[in-house]
Amino acid sequence: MELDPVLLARIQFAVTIMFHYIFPPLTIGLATLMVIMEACHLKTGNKLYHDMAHFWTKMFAISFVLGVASGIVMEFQFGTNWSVYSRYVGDVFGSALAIEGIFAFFMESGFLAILVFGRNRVSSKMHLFSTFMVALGATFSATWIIIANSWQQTPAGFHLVEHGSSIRAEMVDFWAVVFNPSSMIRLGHTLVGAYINGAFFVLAVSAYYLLKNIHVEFAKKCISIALPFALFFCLLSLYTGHIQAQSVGKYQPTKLAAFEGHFKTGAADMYAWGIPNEEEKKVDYGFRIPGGLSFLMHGNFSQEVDGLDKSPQDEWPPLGITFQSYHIMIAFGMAMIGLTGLAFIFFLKGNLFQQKWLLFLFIPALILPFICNQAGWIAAEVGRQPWIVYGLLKTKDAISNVSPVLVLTSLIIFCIVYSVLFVLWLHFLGKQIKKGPESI
Amino acid sequence: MDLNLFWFITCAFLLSGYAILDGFDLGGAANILWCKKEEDKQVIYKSIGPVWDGNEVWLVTFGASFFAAFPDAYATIFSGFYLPLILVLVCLITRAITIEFRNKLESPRARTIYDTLFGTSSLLVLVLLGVAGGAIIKGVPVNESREFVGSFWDIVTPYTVLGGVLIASVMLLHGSFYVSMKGGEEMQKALAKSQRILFGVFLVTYVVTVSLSIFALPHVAESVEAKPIAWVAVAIAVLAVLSVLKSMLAGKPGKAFASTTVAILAHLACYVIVLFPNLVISSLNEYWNMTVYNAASSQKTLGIMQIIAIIGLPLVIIYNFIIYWVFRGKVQAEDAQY
Repeated sequence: MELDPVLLARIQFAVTIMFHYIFPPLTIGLATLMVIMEACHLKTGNKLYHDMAHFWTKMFAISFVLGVASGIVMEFQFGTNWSVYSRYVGDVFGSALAIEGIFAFFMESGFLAILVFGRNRVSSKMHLFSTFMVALGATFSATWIIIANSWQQTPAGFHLVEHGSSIRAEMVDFWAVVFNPSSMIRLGHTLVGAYINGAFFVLAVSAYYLLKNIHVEFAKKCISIALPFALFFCLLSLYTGHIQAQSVGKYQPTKLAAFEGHFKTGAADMYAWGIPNEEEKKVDYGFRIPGGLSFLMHGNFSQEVDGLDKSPQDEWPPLGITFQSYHIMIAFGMAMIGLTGLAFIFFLKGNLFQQKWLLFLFIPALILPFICNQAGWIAAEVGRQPWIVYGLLKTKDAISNVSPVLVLTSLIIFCIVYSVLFVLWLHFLGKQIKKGPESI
Repeated sequence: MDLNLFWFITCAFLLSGYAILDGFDLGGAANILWCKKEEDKQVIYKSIGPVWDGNEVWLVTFGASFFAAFPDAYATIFSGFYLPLILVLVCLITRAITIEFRNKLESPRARTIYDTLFGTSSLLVLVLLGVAGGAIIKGVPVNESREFVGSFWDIVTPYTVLGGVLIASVMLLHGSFYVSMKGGEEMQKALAKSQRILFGVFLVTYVVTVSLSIFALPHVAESVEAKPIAWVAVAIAVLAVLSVLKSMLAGKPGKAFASTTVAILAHLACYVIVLFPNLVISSLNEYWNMTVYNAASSQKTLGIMQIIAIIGLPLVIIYNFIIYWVFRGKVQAEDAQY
């Protein structure tokens, strides 16, 4: 059998980035909640807040280490598997990664040490400050990596220059790279997704404690912070998602058309579900809101939206994956809004903690933000295909001249290692949850 | 100073930070392989626990800065050294997981397995990085279009393996002094014998590697001759090695650690001075060497990134100072674990 080096390199990237991306949104969200809890402790002196911050710090640390371990792979993979890409964009893309290292990683890892191991060595104020710096460092890290990725989606601030025997992109305007058309919009949506993820984690574990009737006061207090937090960001995600879809429509019309299976330029429908049919150029078994996409893009139901027919078929992204992951993200996002909204109503009425069925729902609901975050990224990245840098360089032209056997070998190694890591992560999280919060 | 030279020095600075910091934590970790007592193992875990993550950031930032400043060299080296690099990554993952989760295990058997994994993966990282360093200075088959055209066996050769042993022995020694310093007398006693053996291994491989580099690699000899400043670094390096020996025999791990730190920095300085201006030496044709000038990003980008570095690197030093200040002194029994 002939091995396809491009496909293998892509699978490897997908596996490593998707595994990595289980952890950053969770830890960014948790870190922010930990800052709130520690600040409450410092302000009110209520020891319960202190125990809360301490407990979630443990969960945070268990997850953070997996993020670090799987993140190092990402940093080097551009060189190992995508050397043509690295040569082509190093000037711009490499710079964003370097800034991430210099400004975010050192801050994050340094204060993480104090946050996790330094409780007995520093004052509570310094500890709160460290927690804040970890959350800030994580946010900076997200900022720079999203700037780098957004530059792949909507490249700006560069020119193409001949370099040796090939061509490469060189930076001409730093701020145009940083504030490329999609970077800040995508950063907003990504962070909102991270906050929701952290909050749902707190909600799920707390709901479990309430149902088991253990650590009741702790769980109630956690929910009273995490629930409004979750609801706020779930609602905000509607807005950030909306402006992001508009930005995609403006700068990557083919991607937007693939999201909604919009084949023919004209008034565009929106689908709740469906299966895009590439051959007949229509969506099968779909439930559609006629003119919905036109309305979201332009505010009226009949305005023209560019369809897939505007670009040659060999420049279409894979429609099935793009369409489905986009719709899964939306459907599960709506489910989260419904769930947190309903719970918040009971919470305001003061009888949320008696609604066992609703509390129970929060446990399986923990999977929702993880899937939403992954699905959103799949839609964004698969939707960018066949380009690795939109409109400039195709993915198939960007790989290293490495034997496919090597890529396959390393892929298998990563799959094995990551499966073990995943099991260990669940095991130690489970153990910590069973142990519960301790009073210190 | 031109921008290319600035970035070469900045990358060397980040690599030096990585070498002395992760050097002691990888080296200290590998010493667990001959620690018998649980208390001694705890000293290793507790002295490294809070800092390993920050230390590894030096490697990540080195990698990213190298990517930003010299993308061509980054692409050639990282795709060329594919398999060794993947092994390094797997080892780094393994040690991250074992160090974080080891003390959450209850069964003594599981703990022993984790200790062994922790020690061997750390040791392997050092050996592999040494092999890579050896291969870079020796030169590797890179063709005109800057593609690595060799095989695994162009990277792993007797000379580069010797480099691996050299780096491993010096870092194990460095780490051994660090954990002795953090652990106190008991720890010092437990490691005293292994320190002497490590020093012996280091000295032998050191003499052989340096001789081989000078006599068997003409480009190294030429480069040293052309750059008298290399001799300053060599003199400091040799004095530092003597100081390591003296402090080790006197049973003063703090001083010995300071000496290995200087020795590592001085040797690394020799290494980059000899390498300069090359980043990748082609064993096929010296005209295909990749240098800090022909493999760099544009002047504009290097200039912008210079501003970033001038603002950012002092912060890096401050953050590092803060952690090592907070965790100064001996490992304490009541130090928090999670």
